[in-house]
Amino acid sequence: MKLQTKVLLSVIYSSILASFSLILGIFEIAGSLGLHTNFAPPDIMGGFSLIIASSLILYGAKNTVKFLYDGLSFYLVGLALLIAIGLLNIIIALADLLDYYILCIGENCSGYSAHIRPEIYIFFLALLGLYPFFVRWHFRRKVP
Amino acid sequence: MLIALAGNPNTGKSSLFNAITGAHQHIGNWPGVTVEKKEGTITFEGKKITIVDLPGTYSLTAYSLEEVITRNFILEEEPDVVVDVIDATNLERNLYLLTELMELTDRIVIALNMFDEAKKKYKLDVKKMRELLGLPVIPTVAIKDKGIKDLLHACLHGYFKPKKLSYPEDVENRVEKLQRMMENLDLKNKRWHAIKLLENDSEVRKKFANLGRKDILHEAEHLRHEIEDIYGDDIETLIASFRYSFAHGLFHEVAEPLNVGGVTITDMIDHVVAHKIFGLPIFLVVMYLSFEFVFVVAAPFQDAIDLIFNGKTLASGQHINGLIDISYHWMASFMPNWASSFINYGMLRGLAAVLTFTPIIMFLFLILSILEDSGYLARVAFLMDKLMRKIGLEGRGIISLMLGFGCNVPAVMSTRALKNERERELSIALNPLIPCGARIQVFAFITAIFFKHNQALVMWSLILLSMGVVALLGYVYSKTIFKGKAEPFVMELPPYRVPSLKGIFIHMWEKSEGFLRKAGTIIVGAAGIIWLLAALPWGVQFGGENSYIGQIAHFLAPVGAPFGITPESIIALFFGFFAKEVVIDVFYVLYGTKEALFAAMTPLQAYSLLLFILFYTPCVATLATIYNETKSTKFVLFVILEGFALALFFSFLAYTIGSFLGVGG
Repeated sequence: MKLQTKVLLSVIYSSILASFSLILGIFEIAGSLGLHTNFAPPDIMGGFSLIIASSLILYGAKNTVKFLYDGLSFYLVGLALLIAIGLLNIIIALADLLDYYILCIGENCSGYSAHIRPEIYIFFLALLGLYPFFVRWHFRRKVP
Repeated sequence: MLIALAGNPNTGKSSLFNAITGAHQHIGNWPGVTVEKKEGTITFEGKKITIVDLPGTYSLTAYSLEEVITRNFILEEEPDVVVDVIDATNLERNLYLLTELMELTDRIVIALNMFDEAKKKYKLDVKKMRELLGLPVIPTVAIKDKGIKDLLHACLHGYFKPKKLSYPEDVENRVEKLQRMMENLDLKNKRWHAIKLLENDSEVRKKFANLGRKDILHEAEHLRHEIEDIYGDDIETLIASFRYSFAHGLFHEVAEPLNVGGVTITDMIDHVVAHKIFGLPIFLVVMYLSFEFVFVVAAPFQDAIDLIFNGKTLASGQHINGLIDISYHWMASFMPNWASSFINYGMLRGLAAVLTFTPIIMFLFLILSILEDSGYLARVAFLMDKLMRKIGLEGRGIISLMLGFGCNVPAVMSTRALKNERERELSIALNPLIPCGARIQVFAFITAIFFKHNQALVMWSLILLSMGVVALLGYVYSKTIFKGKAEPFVMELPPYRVPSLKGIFIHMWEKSEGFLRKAGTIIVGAAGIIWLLAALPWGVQFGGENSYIGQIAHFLAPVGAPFGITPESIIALFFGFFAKEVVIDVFYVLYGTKEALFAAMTPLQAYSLLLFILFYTPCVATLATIYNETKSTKFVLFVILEGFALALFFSFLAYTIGSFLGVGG
C-alpha cells in the first residue's frame, strides 16, 4: 500500500474517532447540566478536554493528508491529548479499585463492579491513529 | 577606545572589519601561536578607535586555540565594546555565542550582518531584539558597507543594560556558592569563572590549580555531580542546553520564519501549544488532567493512612482500632488518662492529619516537576506572557501563581525568578489569593459533605473566582499601588525532553520537604492546643458548650452572623491561621462526625464559609515567607488586610444574595 494511502486511512480513522469523542464530550457536559445519557458520564471538565483534543485532530486532519507539518502538528498533539485523557481514566479506575479494597477492610463488601468510562476504550483506539508520527520525515513545511 | 569583533566563522566578520578599517590595518599573529591577528585603527566622530578582529568561534569552551584566544582577550584586555557579528540568515545558531559573550562582558553591540539576505528568510523584529537583550542591535550588510556608521555610533554612544542569562535555580545556587568561595581572589568576572568551573573547563581548572585553590576545585566537582544527578545528564550538555533554550526563546520572540526549514518535534508541539486560539484551552486541559491525577491517585493512599492511624467504625457499629487507639490504651496502662488522651488524640492525631495530606502534596509537586522538567511550563509562561502583561506581570509570573496551587510558601519564594522588584512585589501580593493545596483539601472536605452532586462545579467556581480576582486586582494594582509595566525579557524555551526520574523525585522532595516540616511542627502544635481548649476546664464534656472552645464559639457567634458563618466555623478559621488543614481537624473535634457538621449548616452557609476560606489571611508560614522575601511588616499587614477585605466582601455578598433569593437555605 502506498504511503499516501496509509496516511489517508489513518487520518480518516482518527477523524471518525475524534468525531465520536467530540460528541461524547458534548454529552458529558450536557450530563453535568442535567441532561443525562446512558453512555456519557456527567463531567464538565472531562467533556471539555475531549472536545479540545478531538477539535485539534479534526483541525489538523486536512493538512495532514496533504503531508504538511502544520496539519500533522495539530493532528498529533490532539491524539496525544486523547491518549493522555484515556490514560488518566485508566489510572483513575485503578486508583478507585485500590481505594475500594482499602475502604472495604473489615466490611462485608460485595465484589468490585467496575464502571468503565468510554475514554478508556478511546485510549486504545487512539493509539492506532499514530501512524503519521512514524513517517513524519515525509512531511514538509508550507512554502509561502 | 578598543573594539573587538567576535562572531562565528563565515558571518562576514572579516568583511565588516575591512569595511570599518579600510586600508588602515595591520596583520600579525597572536602572541605565541600561529593564529592570525588583525588590528586596525580609525578615527570616528573625532575619537581614535582600535579595532581587533578576534578569531571566528562557535562557542567559548577551551577546546580550540581560537576559542581560548577570544575569551582570554575579552576577559583580560577588557575591550570597551565587543561587537558580536551575527549571520542574520542563521540567527538561532549564531545566538549561542552571544549567550556566552553576555557572560563575559556587558558591553556588547550586535551586528546583524547579511540583513538583506535574512529578510528573505525571516520577518525580523530588531526593535524587540534590542528591548529583550538590553543591548544595541544594528542591521548591517558589510559587503555593501551598509550600517557601518550606525554600528560605530552605537559602539560610542550605545545603551548597554543587558538582560542576564540565568540558569535554573538548582544551577544558580551552586554558581553563587562557588562565587562566594572566590571572594578573596583577585579575579575578573567571578561569575564566569564559577560557571566555567562547573562546566569542567580545563583552562579554568588549571588556573585555580595554579592559584593553589584545590578546595574550590573539589567543591566545583562535588556541585557538578549534584547537578548531573538532578538532571540526569552530563554538565556540558546541560549548560549548553540552557544556553540553547535562551537562544531558541529569543529567536522565537524576534523572528518569524517565512521559508522551508528543518522541523523538530519541539517545533511541532510548540506550533500547537503556543497557538493563539488553541494554546489556552490546551493549557486548561493539561491543568485539569494534572489536578485530576493528583486528587484521584492520592485518595487511596490518604484513606490507607487514615485507616492505619484512626481505624474505622464498621457499618455494624463495631470499631476497628487504629494506631492512635492502640497507643492510647497502651499509654493509659501506665499514665493518667488525660495525659494519654492529650498525646494520642491531641498530638498524634495532628501528626496523622499531616500524614494524610502528604500524598496529595507529594503528587502535586510530582506533576509540577514533570511539567517543569519536560519544558511545558516554559511554554505556559510564553503563552501567558501577553495575558499576564495586562495585569502588570511578565509570563514567568504565571509559574509562581501556579505553584500557589501547591503551596503558597514555595510559590512566594519562586517570585525570585522575576528580576524586576515591582513585578516581584505584585506577584507576592497576588499569590496568597490562589488557593493552596491545603485550602483545596478543606474545599474538598466541605464540598463533599454539602454539595455531593455538584462538588466539581462548586470547586471550579471557587478556583475560577480566585483567578478572576487575581486578574482584576493585578490590573488595578499595576495601575495604582505597584504602578508600572512588565519589563521585556527573553523567555527560555528548552527543547521538550523526557524528564529523568531521579530529577523529578529530587525536585518533588525539595519542594515537599519544606511543607512537611512546616506542617509537622505547626499542625501538631495546633492540634495539641485545640485538644486542650476542648478538654478544659477539667470535667466538662469534651468540645461541649462549657469547654473553653465552646465558650469562645458562643462569644464569637454574633461576629459571623451577617455572613452565615457559625461560631464553630470561626474557631476553625482562627486555627486555620496556623495551617489551613487544621480547619478540618477543628471540625472533627467540634462536631465529631460529618453528619453532625452537615446538620449544623445550610449549603448556603457552607458556601459562604468556603468563600471566606478562599481569601482570608494566608497561613502563618506563608506570612513568614512573605516577610523574609520583602523584609517589610507593612507588606505583610497589607496581605492580611487584602485577604480579610476580600473574604468579608464575597462571603457577605454570597450569603446576602443567596438568602434574598432563597437559594441553598
